[in-house]
Amino acid sequence: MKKSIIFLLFIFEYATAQNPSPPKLTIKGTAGLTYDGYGLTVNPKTPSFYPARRPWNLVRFNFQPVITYGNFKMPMNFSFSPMRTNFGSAPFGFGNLPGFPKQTVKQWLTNPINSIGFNPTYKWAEVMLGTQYLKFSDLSTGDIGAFGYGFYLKPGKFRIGYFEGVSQQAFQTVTGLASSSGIVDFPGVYKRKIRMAQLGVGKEDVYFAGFNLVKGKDNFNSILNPIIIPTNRATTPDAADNFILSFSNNFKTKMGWYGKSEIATTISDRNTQAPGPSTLVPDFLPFIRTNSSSFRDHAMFAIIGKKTKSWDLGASIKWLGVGYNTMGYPFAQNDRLDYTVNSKFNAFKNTTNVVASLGQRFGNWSVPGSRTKQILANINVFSQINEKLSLNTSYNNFGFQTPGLLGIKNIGNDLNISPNYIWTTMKMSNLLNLSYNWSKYAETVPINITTTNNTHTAMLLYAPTFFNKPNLSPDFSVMFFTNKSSIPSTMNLISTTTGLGLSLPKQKINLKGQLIYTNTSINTSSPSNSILATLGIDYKINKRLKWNTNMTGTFFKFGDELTPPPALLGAHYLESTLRTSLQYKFGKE
Amino acid sequence: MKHSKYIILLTLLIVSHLKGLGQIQANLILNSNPPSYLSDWGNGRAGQLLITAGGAAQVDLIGIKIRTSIFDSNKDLVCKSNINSAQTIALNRGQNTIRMDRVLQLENQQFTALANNLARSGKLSPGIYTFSVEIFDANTGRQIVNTIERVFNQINYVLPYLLSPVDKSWLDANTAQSAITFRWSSLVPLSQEKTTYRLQVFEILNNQTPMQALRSNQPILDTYVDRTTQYIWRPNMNIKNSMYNTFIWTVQTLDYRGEPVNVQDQNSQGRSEPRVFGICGEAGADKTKCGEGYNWQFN
Repeated sequence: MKKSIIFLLFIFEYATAQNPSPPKLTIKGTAGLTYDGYGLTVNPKTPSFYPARRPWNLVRFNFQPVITYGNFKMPMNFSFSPMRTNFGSAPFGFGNLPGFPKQTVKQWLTNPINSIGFNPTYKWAEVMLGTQYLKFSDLSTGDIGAFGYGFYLKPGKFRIGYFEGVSQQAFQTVTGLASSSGIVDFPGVYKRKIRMAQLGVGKEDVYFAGFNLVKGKDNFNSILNPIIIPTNRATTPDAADNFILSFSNNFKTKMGWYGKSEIATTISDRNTQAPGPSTLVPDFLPFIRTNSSSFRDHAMFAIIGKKTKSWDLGASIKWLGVGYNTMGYPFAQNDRLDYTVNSKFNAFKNTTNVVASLGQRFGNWSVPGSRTKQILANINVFSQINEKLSLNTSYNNFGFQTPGLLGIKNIGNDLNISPNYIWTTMKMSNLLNLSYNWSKYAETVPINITTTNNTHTAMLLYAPTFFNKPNLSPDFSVMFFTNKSSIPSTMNLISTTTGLGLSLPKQKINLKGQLIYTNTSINTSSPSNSILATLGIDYKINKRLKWNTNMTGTFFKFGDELTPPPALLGAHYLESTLRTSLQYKFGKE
Repeated sequence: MKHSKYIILLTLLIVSHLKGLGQIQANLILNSNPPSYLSDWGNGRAGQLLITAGGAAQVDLIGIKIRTSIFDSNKDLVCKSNINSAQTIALNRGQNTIRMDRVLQLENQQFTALANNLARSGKLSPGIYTFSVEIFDANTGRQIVNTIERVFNQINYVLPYLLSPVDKSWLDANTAQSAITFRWSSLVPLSQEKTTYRLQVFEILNNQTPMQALRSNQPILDTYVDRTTQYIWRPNMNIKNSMYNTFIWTVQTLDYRGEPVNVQDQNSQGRSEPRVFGICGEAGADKTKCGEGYNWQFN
């Protein structure tokens, strides 16, 4: 009996030893609330001289949990706001005008201020739902978020991805809106759907090679009444169609070599309603059917470099053809060729750090006689000369010019020298930082009319640290800024700043305050004066909960630079900002 | 005398033909700087063809076909429409207005090698061109109005490049909180009319990519600058100890009507490729370390 019990115990022990403990369900992540409040009081109220530069109230929520169960993982992202403050996308600042329709649920879901996404992952398979910002490559897609669905699979070396979603929801046209510049029309924006696919081979952080396909299309039927004939200037843009096919690759070696390159071709229909077929650009079915508004062009880029512990040297080249256009990077400027050499290294036993780059950009590349040239050169050197003294120096040069006697030139040179001196006494340590910046900017337009701007900035900062009061960190600075233009115009600015940092470790509170007084004079006008006060409170309520608050108040009184009209003599405003954010970390650390 | 009957017959023919011509009068109004994309010529900004049909004879009105050609400054043919496949346009009595896209018939053009740029970009190469319009009776194929020619200037604008602050650079907080200088290149070629640059700077809030900030936030600076390409911004805000210390900025180029200069993606509304910069809050620190390892999530 005893033997059989021992045997049973052995079996049980063996069985339990063979069975791994069941996976645990874990949930961790962050949740938070951020509120930005803004206040502005202007005097006089009319005529308008200082517009509000923030929304009066902006509330944003974020909730980013990650659920893990064995090989299953589900990151979620909920960042959203009930407000609509879009200027760089639809409705382009029209949203606050009286009479403009409120945001629909669909518009809210695809508003770039909101992200609602789920990415359930099991081993090498990922499903993408909701808002996703997918960067497939540098020439296909990466800037624009879309709300939709897709997947990404990584079985072994294979990489297979697909996603489709709405990157821009439709906005109907609205006519006769009253704005500060008179009656305006909102021309509407088409619903834009974007589809993307990637097929390739790769290994995480080692290499990748594959094809990318991106197709973006505006739905012409999504605007019910497009404005064809302008009544108040604006007309509805044409609905567009765009297709990209690219081959991209990248690699990283243990020796420190890295590189990536891509070649891409694009076919675009500027107007999906234009009559077809195109006599210039053949269809590329099943991806895009061309019409009389179609065009096709190419692009390429390449980067190669080597990085070690003490240096990094790389070179890049990028060419975008005159008709290169991708809805994945809607702001990319085409018809250009850029090349750059970047370097970063340490010298003199790591006492000197250098970061430098040199490059050139050609614009209007398709028209050799009218190419624009731009030089981009900058170097930043930091030297720790001895224990007390260090020096930071930087130089930037950019020269933009168009060819010919009637050419345009924009040439800028910036030089900055900033020595830093630290000395210590028995009771305290002292930091003295002087920064001087000289900037010259010359703009030449036909025929030989040159405007020059000479800017000098000098700043002196003193920051003591008291050994017996290590929680206190005051700083004082004074800055002088002057810009003299050949227009002629002169701006002088004197600014003094007092800052104080206070750390209260027992209370888990960090306080930061600042008081800035600025005196600005423009030309012969009487000077403007402003006082800016800020207070920041970082309160670590417990290990998981943090509360950060920033308050800023600015009183600005103009001299006579706004006159005429005489009503604006001595005009002033009081501006206040409150930012408060509560962030909670949950789950096991 | 023996040829007099032929002379009389010829005179009658000429008078009849002139009478016919007198019933159709055409006037081509073409903007000397039409939209750079030929496919945009239908939006009313390129111009229109006005045809007055009818007159004293009150004959039955006819359908017409239009043949157009574009010649470059060397008088070399860029494209010519196919009259056989041209649409028949029925004229109403009185004044007829024909949109420029129907006159141009881009879908019906036969292109020469000089249209290479059009195939690549939807735009002709910059330069001076002559637009020629011939109007035919759709039934008889007879040209009923003398060939009309108009000269236009093809201008392909290059939007400004943003020069300073340099992309992904980090500015010293103590100086940036008083003044930040923005510089960009001019619109190329320089417009004869007034050009306005709208400078917009956006704060990148936490949990936002730079492009998300540009597309969704209210700009912290939104100002209009005429002609010049520099603006000194006095932020008058808490930059040094702010929760958000990265920014994205762009310039929107507006023509003399205040409308964005036309670019490929019309949703970008004439905005230049944006750039990002950050504020380096560490006083007296090694500036080469500013933003080291920071992931901009920006191309």
